This record gives sequence, C-alpha cells and structure tokens, in this order.
Amino acid sequence: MEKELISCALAQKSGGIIIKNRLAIILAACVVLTLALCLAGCTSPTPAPSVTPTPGNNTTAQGLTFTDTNGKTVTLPKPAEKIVVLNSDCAEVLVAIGAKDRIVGVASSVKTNPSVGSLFANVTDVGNWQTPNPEQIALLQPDVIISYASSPPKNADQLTQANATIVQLDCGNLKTIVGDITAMGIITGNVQQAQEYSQYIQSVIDLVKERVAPISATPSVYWEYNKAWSTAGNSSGGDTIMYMAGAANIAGDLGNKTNQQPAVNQEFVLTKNPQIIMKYSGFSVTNTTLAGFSALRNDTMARTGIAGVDAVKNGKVYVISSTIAYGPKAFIGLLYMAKVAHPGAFQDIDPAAKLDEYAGRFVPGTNATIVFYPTPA
Amino acid sequence: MQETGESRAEWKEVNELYRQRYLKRLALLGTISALLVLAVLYSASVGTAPLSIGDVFLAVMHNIAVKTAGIPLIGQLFALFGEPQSGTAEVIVVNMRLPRIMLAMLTGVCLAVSGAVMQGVLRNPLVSPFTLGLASAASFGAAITIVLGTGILGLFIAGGSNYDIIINAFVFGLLSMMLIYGISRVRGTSQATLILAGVVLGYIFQAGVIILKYWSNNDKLKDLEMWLMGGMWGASWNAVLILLPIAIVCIVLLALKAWDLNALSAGDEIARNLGIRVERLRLYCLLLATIAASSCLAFTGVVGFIGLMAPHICRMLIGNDHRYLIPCSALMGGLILLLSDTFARTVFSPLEIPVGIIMYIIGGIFFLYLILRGKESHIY
Repeated sequence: MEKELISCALAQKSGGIIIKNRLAIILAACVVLTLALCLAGCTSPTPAPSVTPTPGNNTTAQGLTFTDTNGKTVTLPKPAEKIVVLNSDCAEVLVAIGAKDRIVGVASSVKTNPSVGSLFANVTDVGNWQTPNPEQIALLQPDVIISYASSPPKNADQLTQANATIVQLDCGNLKTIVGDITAMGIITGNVQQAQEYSQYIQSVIDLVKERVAPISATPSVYWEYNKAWSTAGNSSGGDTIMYMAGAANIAGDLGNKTNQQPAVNQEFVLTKNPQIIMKYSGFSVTNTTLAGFSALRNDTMARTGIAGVDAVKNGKVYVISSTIAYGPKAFIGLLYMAKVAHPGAFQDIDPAAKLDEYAGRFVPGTNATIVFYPTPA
Repeated sequence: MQETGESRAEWKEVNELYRQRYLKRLALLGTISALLVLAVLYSASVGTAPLSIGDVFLAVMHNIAVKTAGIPLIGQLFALFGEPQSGTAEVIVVNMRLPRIMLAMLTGVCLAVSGAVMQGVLRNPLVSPFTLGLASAASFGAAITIVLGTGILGLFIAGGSNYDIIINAFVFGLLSMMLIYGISRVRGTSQATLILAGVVLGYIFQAGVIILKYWSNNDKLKDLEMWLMGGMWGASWNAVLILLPIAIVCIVLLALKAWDLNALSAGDEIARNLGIRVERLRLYCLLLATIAASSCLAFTGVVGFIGLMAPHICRMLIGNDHRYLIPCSALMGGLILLLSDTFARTVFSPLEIPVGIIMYIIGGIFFLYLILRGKESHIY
C-alpha cells in the first residue's frame, strides 16, 4: 500500500514535471516562432525602385501624379500653394526652382542649416523635423508637407488631420536627386524651372561620367563619417559619389540599406591601405570654418592606426562638408571627389567656381562657407 | 449582558471609524477626479495655436452637433452653440488635442494600475511594469521594426509603418510575460523568481536593442531613440478606440481582485489559508497588468516612472487597501501623465520635448524625496 502511494506520488510528480516541461517547450516554440516571423519578414516586401517621372505628362483625371523617393505614386489635386518643408535639402530645391514664396513653414533644423538657413529667417518654425507641431501646421493650412523619405515624421497621423498631403522626398542621394527635383517641379507647378535645375545637375554628373569612363585606374578611398571608423557602406551617399567619380570604396562590400555607415577598425583601414581619405565635416553641419576643417584633418591624420597608410603619407586626406556630400549640392562633392581621384582628367575643372555659379544661378548664399579642405591641386 | 453592551459599543465605534475612513477615501477620490477634469480642460485650452477657451468649447460643441445632426433634439441642442471663430479650431481641438489628452490619460491610468497591482502581487514596492522586462521587450519589438523595417506582420504587409511598430512592441511586451510564465511553471511563482527572471529578461532584450542600435544608420537610430524616449506622437482617435476597451477590461478585472490582493499583502501563507490560490492569482494579475501596460507602451514608446510614482503617492494618501489604491492610482497616473504631457508640448512650443524625459526628471526627484523621508516612505 505504502509502495503504491509512493509510486503514485512519484508518477504524479514526474507527470507534473512532464507537463511543466511541455509547457516550457511550447513557450520556447512560441518565442522562436515570433522571432522567426520577424526575421522572415526581413526578406519580404522591399520598396519599389524610384522611377523618374516625366515632366509635362503628369496630369491625370485625379490631378497631378508623381513618384516619391520610396517609389510610391502620389497624386495631388492641384499644384501646392502652401508648403511646409521638414527637410533642408528639399527646402533648397524649392528655392532653386523658384518656389521659395510657397514655403509657409519649415522645421527648426532647416532654419539652423548654415547653407540655406538664412533664406528662411522670416518663415514660421514648425518645430522638430521628426515630430513637427501639428497645431502650428494646422494654423498654416499647407497643401503639402515635405518630409524625409528615409525618416518620415513620427506623428504623421496627427499631421494628416490638417488636410495636408505628406510627401516623402529626400533630395539627397545623387542616384535619386533628378527624380526628386522633377517631383518637386510637379508639386509646385514649376516644371520648367525644375527641368532646368535638374539638367544643370545632370550635366555635371554626365561630365564626370564621360571623363572617368576611359580611365581604368580606380584609386582606393576610405570615406569616414563624423563618428571615427564609421565608413560609407554599400549604396550610401558617399559610396555613390565614389562610384560615380571612378574611385574604389574600400568598404563597398560592407553595409546594407539598414546600416549604410558600418563601423570598421584601424586594422581594416591599414590592411586596405587607401590612397585617399575623405573625412565628413559632421552631420550637425556646425563645423563651417577653415580652422575647424584644418583641425579635423590634423586629428584624422594623427590618429593611431591611420598614420601609416598611403593617403596620409601622400597628404591625400581631405575634409568634405556634409552640405556637398549629400543633398542637391552633392554634384559639387562629386566634382571634388573626381578631381582628387583623377587630377589629370579634371585639371580644368574648378569645383569652387562651379559652386559660386550654382549660388549665383539657383540658391544664393550656398557658397558662403568652406566646403572642402585642402583645395585639390 | 454588560459585556454584550460593551462589545456593541466597541462595534459601533469601529463601525463609525470605518465609515469615517471610507468617506475620507471617497472624498479623496472625488478630489483627484475633479483635479483630473480641470487638467483636461486646461490641457484642451493650451497649445501652440492661440485659441480662446470659448473657441475650444464651441469647437467641441460644433463637432458634436455635426455628428448628431440626424438625431432630433440632441442635434438641435448642440447646434444652438454655433461655430468657433477660428476656422481651424475644430481640427486642432477635436482631432489633435483631445486624442492626445485621451492617450496621455489612458497611458497614465494603465501604467499606474499595472504598477500598483504588480507591487501588490510581488509584495515589493520597487516593482513596476518595467521591472519584469516589459519595457525592454517592447523596445526590442519596436527596434526590430524600426531598424530592420519588418515586424511580426512582415510576412503580410510592408514593414516599418507606425502600425507595424505598435503591433511588434505589443507582441514582444506580451512575449516577456509569456517567458516569465514559462519560467514560473518550471521554478514556481515566488516573488524572488519572478523579479529575478524579469530583470534578467530585461537585460537580454536590452542587449537586443543595443545590437540593433549598433547596426542601424543615422536616420534609423534617431527614429529608435525617439521611440525609446516616449511621447504622445501616436495620438489619434483610432489609438484611443483601440486602447479604451483594453484599459477598461483590464482595470475592472484587476479591481475585482482587490480583496485577494489585500489578503496576499499579509503573506502567501495567510492568503492560502484564506482560500486564495496564490500562484494563480499572481499570474492572472501579472498577465492583465502586462496587457494593459504593453498596449499603451506600443503607442507611446517607453514612458518610465509613472508605474512607480502614482501608486506610491496614492499609498501615502489613501493607504494600502487595494479597493481604493487601484482606482486612486488610475486617477493619479492619468493626472500626472496628462499634466506632464501638456507641459512637454507647450513649454518650448512649437518644439516638443518627449514626455518620457519629463517623467524621468519628475520621477527621479520624487524618489529622492522618498529616500530623504527615510522609513516613513515605505520604500525600504
């Protein structure tokens, strides 16, 4: 009897353990399944490639149609009379295509941008570019709110209450800039000016392509963003400039859409031994003086692990402003990169003069601060 | 005979004392409710747009009049008020300020009740919805969507949208509870096991967030940081309509367990002797508290301290009786978070500060005050 009771108790206990173990297994399976679903999603829907809209043929029965930077088709009932811009690159494009007077509100970061901020001193501040103030925007009653495509506003649901269409355009990467400018032309109705502006930029891109095409040599470049050892990965803005300028990005195999600025280390740079180093002046774009650029260059060259590479030995270390490395003026960054990589082929090209021409013709004041140091021979 | 008379007198005295305390507590709950109503009115009348109180009132009335136009009498009654002077007043008040006020209140209510209940079931005054790894798990869920651009719905719809972030954060919040439940099935539901398991899971999910931060690029990193700071940017009537039933159901079910929680506060053994199934109660309350907290966090991001601060203030005001502590914490949580969010959106207008930052500052100062009060504060 006693034995039976003991065996019964043991059986119950072991049964309990089995049930507990089963539950644990089921829970573990749930966890694994959840993570698997999430990771499986990584390979699913990807945004459609950006399609360059054709100017002059965008009027449909519903209104004006264009494609944003993410490849999404957007329709507006009519050209926008009032625009709020959260992205300083897009604000610059609007000025360039003669639509500055349509801008009724800008994000704080647009007002403090050293390249174009002074142009918007009297325009209403709508707050942070990630979380613009919905009440301020409702008071301005814009037709369109232009935000970054790579980082749309967090409070988009509240912004749409103001009956404005949120348009996502980056106006940043050289690969998509022409399409973005065309879209801006359609949004504002200034199609002709947009075409003229995009053709100006395209002509510089074509010139570089044409001169680089016959050159087989591709000097290696280490492009460093503002954080030490954070480099330009595949498909980043810096990678695009290097590729178009006929240079080889030593980190071209690294990074992806999620991580465009992969972190490397001294050993990686030493092993790759780049012939040119391009150092970003900073995302905050506060470093705008010659002394600041010079100090940044000296710091970079004196860094342990970088002093032994060819670029430092030959003095080919340059500081590039973020205002010309990304955004509508990235074609100026392209000219500098091409001139540094292939001095012989671009001897007659003066990027600084081109920037002066751009400022005179399209956006005044954009040549006021230093953008590249030292000046290439 | 004399003894009976004495005991009756004592009973009467005790009864009178109980009645007085009961009335006092009701008066306190009434006062906090009135303060909450005043806070709602104040919050609806301030903002970047300079709207008069009259316009705010007319905006609400006109909106109700439009919505009830088909209903005789009621529609006509509201139509008597007319339209606000400012053309944008209705959009600003009804579609922007009111949903935000509602979201802030609901989040405050849910987090405070979750905190009060978790502190009760685990008999630890420093437990909050975040101690059991909930915030870290929800953050990890949100981070996966923000950085990798995909979520639990990644197989079905394009990832990276706000709704994808919300669903992922909610699912991962629940996942943390499921993991703790799994651990408790194997190792029992003692307070130490649950708290330790929560802390450890919190670190593991935190590691996941750090890895994703390390991988992400500048734009995504800013998005992620923004979510981790917490704010009411996701406010909309849709969000309120989703959260409201969840909050009501969870809070009512938790409030119904107030007696059991009171018994549990005397210790596991005593509660067992009173016929309470302690393990079951603990898991039931933790699950409901987690659902309430993670559904709010999914919309707002991480808003810390409210689950600790509101119950502690209420304990000092109303005592440890969960029948009063739960409703008091709910009202106090709603009040604190609403006032904090109103401050966050108006102080540097048009710029807004994430309300999570305000909560950390207020919460930090409050706990320093409790520490300085020493043992009176009941936190140690």
